[in-house]
Amino acid sequence: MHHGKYRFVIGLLLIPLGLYAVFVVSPYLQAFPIAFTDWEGLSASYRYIGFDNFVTLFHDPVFWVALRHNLFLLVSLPTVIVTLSLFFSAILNYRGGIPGAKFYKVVYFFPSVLSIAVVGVLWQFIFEPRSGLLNGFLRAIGLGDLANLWLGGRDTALASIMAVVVWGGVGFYVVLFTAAMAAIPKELYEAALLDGASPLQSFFRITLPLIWNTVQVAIAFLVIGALDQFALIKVLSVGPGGPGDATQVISLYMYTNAFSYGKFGYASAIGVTLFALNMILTLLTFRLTRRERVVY
Amino acid sequence: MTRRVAGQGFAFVWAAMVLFPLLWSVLSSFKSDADIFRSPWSLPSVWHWDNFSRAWNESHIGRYFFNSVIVVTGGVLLCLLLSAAVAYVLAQFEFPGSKALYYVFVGGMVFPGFLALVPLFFVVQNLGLMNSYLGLILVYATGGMSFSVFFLTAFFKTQSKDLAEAALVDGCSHWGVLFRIMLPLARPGLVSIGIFQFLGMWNEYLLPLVLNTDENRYLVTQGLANIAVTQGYHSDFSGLFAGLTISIIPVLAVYLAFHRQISAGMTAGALK
Amino acid sequence: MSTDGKVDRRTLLRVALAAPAVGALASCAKPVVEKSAPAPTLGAKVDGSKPLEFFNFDGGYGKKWTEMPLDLYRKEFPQAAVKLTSGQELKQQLQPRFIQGTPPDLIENVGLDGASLVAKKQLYDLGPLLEMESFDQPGVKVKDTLLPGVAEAGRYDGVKYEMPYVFGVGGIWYSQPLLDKHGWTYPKHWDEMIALCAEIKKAGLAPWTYQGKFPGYLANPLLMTAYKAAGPELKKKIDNLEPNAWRDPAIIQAAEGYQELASKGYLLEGTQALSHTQSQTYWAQGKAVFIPCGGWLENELGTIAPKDFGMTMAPVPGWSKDDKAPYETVTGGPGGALIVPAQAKNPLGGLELLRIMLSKQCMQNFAKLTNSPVVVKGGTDGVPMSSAAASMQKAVNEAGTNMFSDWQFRLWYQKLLTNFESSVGVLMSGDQTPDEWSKQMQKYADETAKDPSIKKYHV
Repeated sequence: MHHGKYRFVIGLLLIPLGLYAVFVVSPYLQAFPIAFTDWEGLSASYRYIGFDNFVTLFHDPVFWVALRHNLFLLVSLPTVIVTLSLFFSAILNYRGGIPGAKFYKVVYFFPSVLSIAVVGVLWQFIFEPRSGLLNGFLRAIGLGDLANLWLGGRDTALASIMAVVVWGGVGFYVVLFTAAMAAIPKELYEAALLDGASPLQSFFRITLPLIWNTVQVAIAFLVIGALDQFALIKVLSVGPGGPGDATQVISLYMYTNAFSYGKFGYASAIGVTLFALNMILTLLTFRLTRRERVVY
Repeated sequence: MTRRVAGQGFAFVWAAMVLFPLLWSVLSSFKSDADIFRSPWSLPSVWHWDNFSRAWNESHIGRYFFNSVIVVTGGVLLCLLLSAAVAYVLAQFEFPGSKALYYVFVGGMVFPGFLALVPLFFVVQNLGLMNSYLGLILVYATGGMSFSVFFLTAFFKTQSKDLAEAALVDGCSHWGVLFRIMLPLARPGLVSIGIFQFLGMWNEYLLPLVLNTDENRYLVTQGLANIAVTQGYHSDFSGLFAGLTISIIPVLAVYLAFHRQISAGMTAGALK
Repeated sequence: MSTDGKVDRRTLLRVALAAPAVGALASCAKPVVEKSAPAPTLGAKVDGSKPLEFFNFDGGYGKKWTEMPLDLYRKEFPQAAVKLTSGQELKQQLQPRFIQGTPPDLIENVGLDGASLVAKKQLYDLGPLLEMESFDQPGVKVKDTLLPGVAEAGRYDGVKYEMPYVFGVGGIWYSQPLLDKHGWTYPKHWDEMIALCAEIKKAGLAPWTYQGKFPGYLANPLLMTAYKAAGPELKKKIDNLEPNAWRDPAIIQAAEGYQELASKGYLLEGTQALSHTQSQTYWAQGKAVFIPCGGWLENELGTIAPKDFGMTMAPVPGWSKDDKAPYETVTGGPGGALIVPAQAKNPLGGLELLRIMLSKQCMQNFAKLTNSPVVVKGGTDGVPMSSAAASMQKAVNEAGTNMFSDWQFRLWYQKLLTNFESSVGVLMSGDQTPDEWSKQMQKYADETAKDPSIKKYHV
């Protein structure tokens, strides 16, 4: 009965694999050797310098600062976004859905359909300390003391950018989670209610385990996203990457090295390191979030 | 009951946080530059519709929109087709190297994109695909394959092999099983990954910047960047807000028109 | 993605010290007609059938100005396919083409690192162009149509690789009517500046603002104040990456002086987080009295500044009466860079287009369209002069020979420049003392000096 299986498999894989090899694998493979050169990215000439770039990288304080910021985002972004999304999903789904739940879901999703360029430019004006929306709002409600430099302050810059990511990200996961929650049979909740479980208890005992697979996908996606933060930081931050190196992240540092400093070899070394980190973290996330599938 | 009210309250606050900046930006696009810097709260003293004509003329958003639609639609469809084929094979068949193949695809997902930018330029150039819709579509589609294959493999794995086996016993060919049974079953997953990819490709900026330098082929992201940069030289704040509004409204309209399908797609995707 | 273009802004700040209509040199100096040796023209040597591509930086000056020279080229070589390409992200757009060996034939360069291109022998020697006959002034060599200093600018180890096209100065800007109204005079030394700031603050205004998001704008004046205190030797030490150049007492005391603007509350509230256009807008609305900027400020503000604002530029204040360089010293001169890539398919065509661009008619056209002064004599004739332009002309006149184009390290060492600009932001935030800051800068300079991958130049 497996007659023709291999012919089928090959027939199906041929074109996708071919295109993937040409447009994805080959450019990436070409990028790897560059990490071992002193290429400045402007001419076709370069020298191989062994592991020099990696040695320099290891002693580069900016790289470590950037890495620390990435790790901060890596922990905080998934935590905050998943928590908020679960919270709002639970609210919207409360007892089969609060009034207006559909409207809220539509509105929450709005930022997801906006291009990052739009979001960045928009928030640049919201954070503007003098006539921006945020400080204006704080002053209007009598909390003028909380008005801040936001993107211009060393202590607030990274958190401010993070807030934009959260603003843009929560809606997507709310829609994802509410969809998963809606599929949980109502009888389970009714039974729990009869057992005297509080809504909080039924959330942790029923809802969360049953949608864990979806949560896991969300976390994985956000972890990779945290390492990939670039566009918003480049648009919003002082410098970019500042003030000082307060919002420096690996991808931005790689970009700066490649396109501003003309150190393409070094940038590639940063990229290869980032790739390795990405790989490890992805595997780790899947290990850590793996749970037995709950069958219902 | 109080819980319900509190819940409503939280839900409402977040909705306001999302809507308010958007409304504010739309409102600001009708203001004069002086108005914008006077107060974030005031209504426009005069409604400046001219901001829009300026932004529209400078950004050529209409033409770029058309380009974006072609490239992104083509990219998403091709990406789905290619990824579904690979994912189906990886999920349903065991063969030597299938695990390795899976990791080749998943590995692509974690590679920082712009390092491959220059080599990719040469690949596209050597194929004679610079400044062409096809070139961008192929790059977008293959670029989206990693995540799609990863996602769809998981999706296909959850589908029972019994049905396929039964169909094979009934004399259905492998191709028949794929097209008549598996793909229709996978439709929800395809829709939901399609949405992911659509949003991602619609946002893509770096790739077209390098691979698409012909102004007639510019995409919306490039047009918007143009306004933002040009603004930086002329202090045309109202024009920038108008440009923002022009690029926000159509996308929101499309989303509102299709939100049912989108959320249905995500619902189905989330179940698995 | 990058919607900002601010990287390009800063590069523009570096290369194009453009001022709207600095007429001094332009209008006073009449073209020197040299009848003796007839200069060769390029026309005969150019292969008119070859296609030609010009890459325009579609930023501050836009692309409207390119129409005239391109049309003139088409008229001269009707068979040539002449193509205009435009962009704002030159690094991403042109880098692959340089590597592949298919760069455009002439580039308006804002964004590519000129020093690196030279180091990698990617640029065509523009020297011969200077000896050729001007496009629309028969019998006059190109070099004789240029303003003083233009032929010398853009040289690396003596070879002419970059051709500037705008001319200007940078300094501190204020509204003259505003100062007059309060009876204030622009201070020549820093202690007077600080004293005036106290007065301004008392009057309810913010004394200073700067383009906080891009601290490079303030970095330049800081260095200039130090330069005036220490004299030209300081510039030489810093440009040559000499040990302890940044530890010079003049540098540290200037850092102290500028940091006081922040620590004494003399900055417009929120300055550190404002973009260049935002801070300049507040300044033009009279919310802050002083702002540092190059000559493009008026053009960039567009219609935002009130008509009677009396926009005025003055040299950066020196440190004290004991200064070793006069207060009148300004950075200025030719700016911007047109380059012909060495690997261009039609370099002679590129050179010819460059010759056309440097013609009087094209330069006047440029000045008119962009409200900017240009590098040829008489280039701004017939372009009306604003108060901003008049003040810059005055600064140029008074500077006389006390004018230099730029700190060379800014052109030669990208990374050091980036570090320097970002560090001034840190200094202004008060997170480092001036002494710590100068140590940090010295460390950056030493790193550049030690980095074998960076080609070194010397003054």
